[in-house]
Amino acid sequence: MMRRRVERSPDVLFAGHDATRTGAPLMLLYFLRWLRDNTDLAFEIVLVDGGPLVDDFAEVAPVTVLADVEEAMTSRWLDRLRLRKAATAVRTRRQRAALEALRRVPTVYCNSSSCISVVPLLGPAPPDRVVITHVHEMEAGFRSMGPAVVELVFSVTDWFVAASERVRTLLIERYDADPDHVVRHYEFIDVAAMAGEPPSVADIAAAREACGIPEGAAVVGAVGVTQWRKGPDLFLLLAHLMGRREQGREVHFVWLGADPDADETRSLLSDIARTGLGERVHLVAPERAPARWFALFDVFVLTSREDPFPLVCLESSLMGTPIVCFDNTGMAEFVGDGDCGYMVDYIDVEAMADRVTSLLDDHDLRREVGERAARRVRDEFDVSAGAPALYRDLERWRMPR
Amino acid sequence: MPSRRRPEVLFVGHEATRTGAPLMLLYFLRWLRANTDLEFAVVLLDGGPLVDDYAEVAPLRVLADLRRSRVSRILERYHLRQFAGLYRSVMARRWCAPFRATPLVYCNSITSIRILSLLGGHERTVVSHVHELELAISVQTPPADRDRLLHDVDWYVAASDLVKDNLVSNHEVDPDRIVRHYEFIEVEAFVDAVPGHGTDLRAALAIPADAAVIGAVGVAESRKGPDLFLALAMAFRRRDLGRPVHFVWVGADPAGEGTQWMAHDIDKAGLGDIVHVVGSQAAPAAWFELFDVLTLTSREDPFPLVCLESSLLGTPIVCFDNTGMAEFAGDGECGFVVPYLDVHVMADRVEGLLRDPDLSAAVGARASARVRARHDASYGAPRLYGDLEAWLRGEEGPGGG
Repeated sequence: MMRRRVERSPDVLFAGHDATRTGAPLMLLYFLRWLRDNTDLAFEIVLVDGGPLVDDFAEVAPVTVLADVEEAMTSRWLDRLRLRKAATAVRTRRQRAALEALRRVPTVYCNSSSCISVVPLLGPAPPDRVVITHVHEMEAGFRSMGPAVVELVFSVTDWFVAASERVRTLLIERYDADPDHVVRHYEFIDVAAMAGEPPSVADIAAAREACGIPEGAAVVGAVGVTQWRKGPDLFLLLAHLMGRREQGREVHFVWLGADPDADETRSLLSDIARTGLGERVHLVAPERAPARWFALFDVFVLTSREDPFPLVCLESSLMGTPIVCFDNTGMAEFVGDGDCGYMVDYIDVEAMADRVTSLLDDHDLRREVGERAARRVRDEFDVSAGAPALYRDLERWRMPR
Repeated sequence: MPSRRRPEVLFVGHEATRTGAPLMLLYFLRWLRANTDLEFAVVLLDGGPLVDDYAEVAPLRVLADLRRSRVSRILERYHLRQFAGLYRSVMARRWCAPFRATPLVYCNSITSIRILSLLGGHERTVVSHVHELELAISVQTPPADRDRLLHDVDWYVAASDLVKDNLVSNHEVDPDRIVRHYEFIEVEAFVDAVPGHGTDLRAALAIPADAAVIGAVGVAESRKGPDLFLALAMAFRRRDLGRPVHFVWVGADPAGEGTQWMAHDIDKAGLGDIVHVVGSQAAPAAWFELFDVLTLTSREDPFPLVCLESSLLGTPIVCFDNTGMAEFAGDGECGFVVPYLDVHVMADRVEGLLRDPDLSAAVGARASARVRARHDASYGAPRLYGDLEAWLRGEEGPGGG
């Protein structure tokens, strides 16, 4: 990716993990757009990996994608000879070279802990360097990064942004972060942009038909990859449990975001077939414009075993759909006690089934809870509320000490 | 390779772990050594705790030992991984050269089939003893191995009817070439080894003297359903048996990811007081003695040996209907079978057994008797040997000597 020359050297370098259409990159994109439109902060972006949103990022500020840094012949040959260490050394050298002009940037904002790997690439830090890490991970996320990366996160970060209270508590209690240096900022979305693209009646009908869901049937939805962390197995247990109860009307279950090539997806499909749930449980591949699926859901369930604060829940809530989630997710902080949804004990699928059933059976309750949820998203979780607050902290932290 | 006569059969095992397939092969080989004059040798792809036991029964080669050879280590140290791999490949072929002309190659577990690539083309009879079901065959086996399994094998031994039916329906194997032989164990040896340590273990895990203990055994991988075991524990939270109910899972590899997720779930769900997870045990009998009921929560399981061992001790089993144990349990004879994923019906059955000691004792006694009668090496091994001999004779038929 060619870097455009800027007139001023940047105040902040934002580092992102990738440009996929997932929570952390999307929130960063909304924030950066807001910064460009509402402040005169000079910033650039470095992404470890690419993805569908690269062009969107590039419209906001100069972007360097490390994965695109041109492969030297040398490192390709070293790779072929399986001399991995040497190949990595060459690659790192070229990545450092690509970030040469950013070496003296005073503030680095790592969006998600794994991006901390960008900091060493910038070489020895200038004396006024401030590192901010925006943590979108919880325990399992940290575990998967490996001890070396975790160690780096906690040794170089000056300020932490925590995506929810649960994340904040984790950083302080489990990793001994200084409580005065950990600030909670809930995720936010761009409500106006979403409201501007409502799904058409035809689109929603097409989604319904694609799964063979009859008119009048209730739909319970979930969104995410089919990895263990997101609890797709718990979703199946929920569907199975509810299938055995007497329902007023037929209930269907839709999981959006199941990569058809993933082993976990195949394993789930096998389970679905074996239990005869094939008529009622539908796994749908990820979509670029998922709004029509959100519109289809009567209740949104978050079956994640851990989830800092999934954006999809905000998007779904905006449509007036109530949420039911487990403890140990940031959404437990959003729903309150029946305000905007319901939280149940961790992996208590039966309790989740009870709540979902009560929502499906009571149209008025569903509407009230859903409306409160939508209002809450508009008032508190829009970029117009969240971005200024985050920006204020950013300014406070990056000012010379 | 020291041997007075050239081996008639080469047995190939995947590994020497203390799990079903390697154990059954070991029992069979011990029986052959003690009761026949069959000349045989053993090659294992990987090592494990049972290596010495194997070596006592037959000349043994463990291919994974090549990783420890000096040349291989030197090549690895200089990051010449590809050359190291090449060297090991050449050496493996050399090690297997004496067996190129062996009339019959018996591959235990589908992974062992890859021995054929080291033996080269030569007239021989290939037998594959299949201990696996569809998830293992289609998702966990590389295509090259699957190919050999379906095209290079003359005779199949299936560990249960479920395994046989799967090969026929999903892989179009000719049913006349498949013989079903249920797994077997060494009853006397197992019974002799039961130390009566039950009370010590109970105290070590802080399980109250009057508590019921529900057990499960296996690695903590999705296929074995550790999540379903936890769902069972959750289901029991709402039931009152008048005494505590504890859950013990034996066999979880402490370093495994599945084990970590299990620990995570137990912790977050507040199940730590009543759910205990322990690693693989050299002498599992003491653990089985602890169990009042054994639950098999596997998503698929051809015919787990641990169920035979537990049944031998008079412990009733409850399992899902897509496991080979359903063929053992019958309908309340030696255990109970419930519909797949129906955790609540499983909980009902378990509760029924816990509340009715007479029923439990009767079912357990029948289970124990069936293991002694039909699943001891003294019953199963001669039958398997009968087929093995016939296949050998077929090889030495009209053409040979």
